[in-house]
Amino acid sequence: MLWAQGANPPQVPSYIGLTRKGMDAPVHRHDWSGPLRHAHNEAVFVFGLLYWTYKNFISSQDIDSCVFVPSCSTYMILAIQKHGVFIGFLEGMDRLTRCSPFANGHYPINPQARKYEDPVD
Amino acid sequence: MKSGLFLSIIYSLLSLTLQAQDVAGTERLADTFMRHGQYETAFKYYQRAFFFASKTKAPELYGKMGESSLMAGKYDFARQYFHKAQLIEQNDSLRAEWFLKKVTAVVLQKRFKLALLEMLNYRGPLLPHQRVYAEYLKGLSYFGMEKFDLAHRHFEAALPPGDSLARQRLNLLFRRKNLMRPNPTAAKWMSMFVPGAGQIYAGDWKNGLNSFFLNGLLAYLILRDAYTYSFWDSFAGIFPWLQRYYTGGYQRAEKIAEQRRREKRARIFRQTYDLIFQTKSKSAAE
Amino acid sequence: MKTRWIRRLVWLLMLTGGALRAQERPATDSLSPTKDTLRAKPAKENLFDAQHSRRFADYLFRTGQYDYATEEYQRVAFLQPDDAYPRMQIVKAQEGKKDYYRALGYFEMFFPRFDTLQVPFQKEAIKLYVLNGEYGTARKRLWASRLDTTRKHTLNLGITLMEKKWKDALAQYHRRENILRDPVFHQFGLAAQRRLEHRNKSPLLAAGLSAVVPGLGKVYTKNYGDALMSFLFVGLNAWQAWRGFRKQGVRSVHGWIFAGFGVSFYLGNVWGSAKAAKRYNRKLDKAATDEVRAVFEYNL
Repeated sequence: MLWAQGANPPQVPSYIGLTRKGMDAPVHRHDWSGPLRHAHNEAVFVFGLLYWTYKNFISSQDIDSCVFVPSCSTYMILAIQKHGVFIGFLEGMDRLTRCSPFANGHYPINPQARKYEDPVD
Repeated sequence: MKSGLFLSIIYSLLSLTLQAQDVAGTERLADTFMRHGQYETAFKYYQRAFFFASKTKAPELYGKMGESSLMAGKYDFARQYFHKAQLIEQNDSLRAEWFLKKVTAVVLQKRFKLALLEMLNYRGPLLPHQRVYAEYLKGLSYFGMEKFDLAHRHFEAALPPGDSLARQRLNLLFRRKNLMRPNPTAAKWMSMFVPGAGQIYAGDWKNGLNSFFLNGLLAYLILRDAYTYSFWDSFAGIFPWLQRYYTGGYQRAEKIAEQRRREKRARIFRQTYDLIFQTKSKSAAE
Repeated sequence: MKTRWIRRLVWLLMLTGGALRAQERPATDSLSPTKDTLRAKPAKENLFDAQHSRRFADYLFRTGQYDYATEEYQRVAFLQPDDAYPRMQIVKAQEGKKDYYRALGYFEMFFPRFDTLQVPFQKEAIKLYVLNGEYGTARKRLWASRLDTTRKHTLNLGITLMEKKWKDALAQYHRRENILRDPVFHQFGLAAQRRLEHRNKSPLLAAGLSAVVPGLGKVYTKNYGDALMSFLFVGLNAWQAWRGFRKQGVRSVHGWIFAGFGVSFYLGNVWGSAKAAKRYNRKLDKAATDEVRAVFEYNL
């Protein structure tokens, strides 16, 4: 341990350096502009914009009430990206009605998120 | 990626020329990988050396396997290997070394109580620099357990002796700044009375104003609909939304305050670390 | 792409290095893996020769470090090209990681001639084809294999089940029900029977029912909670829209907004009911095939 023996310049063993990083507070930064930036037509762009606005100003103030992962809004934007605007929108509306305590028992559980798993298919 | 490829080329060429790949050679190879930051590969070669080595090499190789796992971020493995190394090591100072590294792994798992228990139970001798590190680890455990007075005392003991400037700086850090603030419960109650107030108290203006205006808008819509249609219409149509965002507001205020407090503590901890290990020039550490 | 080739070149160099060293010191053959990890050895030995690598690889395989074990077995396979054991262990290591796709790739590379293989190897091949969903190839290999007839019929039934041809499977079972004495055969037969006890739900019927009464399609697919929610969602929105229109006529913003939501939920529910029926069928299929898959995975 050179730092204790007056070495110049001081060198701290790397495992001690780990403890400095280890106490850092994890920062969760979300960027919801993905669908907006990668939109391939105007309709998807409009939905991407709605999604971005919703996530930034409305969903960020909401209680954490969606029982699924991915959440209903993310599900809808993914479905729209995958199946097109009309079918994707219908899938999203159907998902909203399924998002209730009654989902219990019908879906596998994602242990990390502690929510039901229902990916877009 | 590129440097890794380059290294692997070099070592494959080395393995062509090296005749005796015995235990010591394998260990040297692993050491080299360790120095170049390829911890996973180093771990593999240490394992091989350990598998074929004699019993006398076991403590050292256990320790090295622990080190490579620690650096690779596998703290649970690291803890177990260091523990084994500590149990069978004959040399006192090396045993202390493995012990301190084990506690480092425990601290990195954020099991501060366990780390403190280990530190307080240790009865072996420590070299001077190990004693400094032991004090630092104790301070760190108390810091993680939110006992900042005790943490301050142990951090102070870990400072370089005679460095009164560092001592003053540490005092300033711990006395001036209240590490219990912003208080999540206070933020929650503030947001219960005025939506957004708790977030602003925690220093998050964007979310504070957002919450305030969103709740204000919904309240306005309820009143307007109650006038234009009927009370029940507005109650059934809009009140559930207000309830969601109001509840969400104070729940999130609590979380935001918690996060801000964690960030503040991390900042102060980093400055303390820099004071103890003198990693930065003194002016940079405030 | 280029990196991959460089890697292959490097790998080849390493292996050649090992081969050269192996020729210098021919291996004294003791092929049974020992469990003694701490045995003292004289110095000046090569830890990278076939014997050492094999012992170490076996240790890595036992402790579940399949990636490292694969690397070691690859070296052993290169140094001992006549031995099938390390190559088989490479395949098994991929199976340990549940990477059946790669396992099949290795298997086809290492053992290209199916008809010359021993029975355990043939079984392994059939298992990997089934787990990769290549049922046609699996069946072809099965009939070409040297397994006994009972086993062949059993596995054939299993493959039919994995293809989700339940009626065919049941017919196959009844044809040999009284002849074959294999318990797994009867297990498979029962799986087919159990699956056929539940009738499939028709997506079209579910959608139609939901079109008539919102949520009825979901009652049909036994999602009662979802049915109630869709009925409420559509009903409340329609009610609010109607109130808006009644008060202010077609210029009512309130009415149009709720009408929009109501229609969206209604259409979404029709679409969702068809999906729910499909999900219902898929769930039944999965319950049946999981049982069969487990036999192929762990019990072949």
